[in-house]
Amino acid sequence: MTADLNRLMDNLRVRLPGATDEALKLEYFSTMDQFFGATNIWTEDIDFEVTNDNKTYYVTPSGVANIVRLMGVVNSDGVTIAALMKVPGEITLVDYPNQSDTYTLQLALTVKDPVTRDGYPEYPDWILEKYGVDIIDGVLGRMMSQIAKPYSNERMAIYHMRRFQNTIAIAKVEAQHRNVYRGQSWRFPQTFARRRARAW
Amino acid sequence: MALDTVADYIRNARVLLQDTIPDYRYSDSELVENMNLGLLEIRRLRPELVRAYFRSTIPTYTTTNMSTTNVAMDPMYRVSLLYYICGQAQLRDDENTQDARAAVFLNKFVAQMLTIQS
Repeated sequence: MTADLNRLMDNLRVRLPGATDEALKLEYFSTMDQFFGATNIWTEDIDFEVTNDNKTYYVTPSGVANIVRLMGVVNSDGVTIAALMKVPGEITLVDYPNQSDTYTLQLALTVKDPVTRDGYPEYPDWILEKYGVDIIDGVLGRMMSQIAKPYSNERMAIYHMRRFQNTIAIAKVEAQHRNVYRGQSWRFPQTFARRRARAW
Repeated sequence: MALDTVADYIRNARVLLQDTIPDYRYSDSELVENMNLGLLEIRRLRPELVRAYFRSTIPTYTTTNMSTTNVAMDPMYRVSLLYYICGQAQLRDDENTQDARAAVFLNKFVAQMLTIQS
């Protein structure tokens, strides 16, 4: 990730004369937070034990990450279980489980403080490798939208943010398709299904 | 690197102020105080340059250990701070020519903080 991160920072330094690394890191964090919050591209599956007398369970991501939303819950047979998450990390099942079981949930995650020693947010390497060029657009857009800076540029800020929004839309669809080209974007009507499949 | 320590700033400021021979017109403490004022101006104009001090007070430098005390400033904006020190020093003089020089230094400081063309 270091090589990709160096390339990203070098690109930003070249394109934003007068910008300090501190300011770049600040907006880089915000850009990634926006990216993850809108795309659900960073997910984690977590197993948790359930009992038939409890509907509320607490989960935390394994790495340094904030929870954005609950993507779904399935039981050990892969059947979808109705659940809510009013507060990130607090899973409330709609119904009591019939028996003790191991459920699996999927969480969409985003970046969180503390960042690394160098001040960069942590997230899976492949995301920067795949979307690095597009992430540059996001940071550029945010930097150029700042007022009274050598790099302030309203017109270019709009241009870069528009490109970044396009990337978010593409990344969101690709995440839904699990990065499969022409992946099925629809599901068979559920009335035809004998058993509900995984929600994600 | 150039302009690392408090002493570096004072030495370079004296060159621009044509005040390199003792007894000095501008004392070390006056110039260091100008630098402290400059940091306050930077906090107003470009907050991210002093982001490390958002949750504490902006440092106040003194003439003690000037040659070993580093000034926390991004290399891109060290010359700007130097111009502020000079401009502020020349504001003290009441001659017309010095007023003009003070204005040049201070305007250059602001321009470099806010624009690329400066």
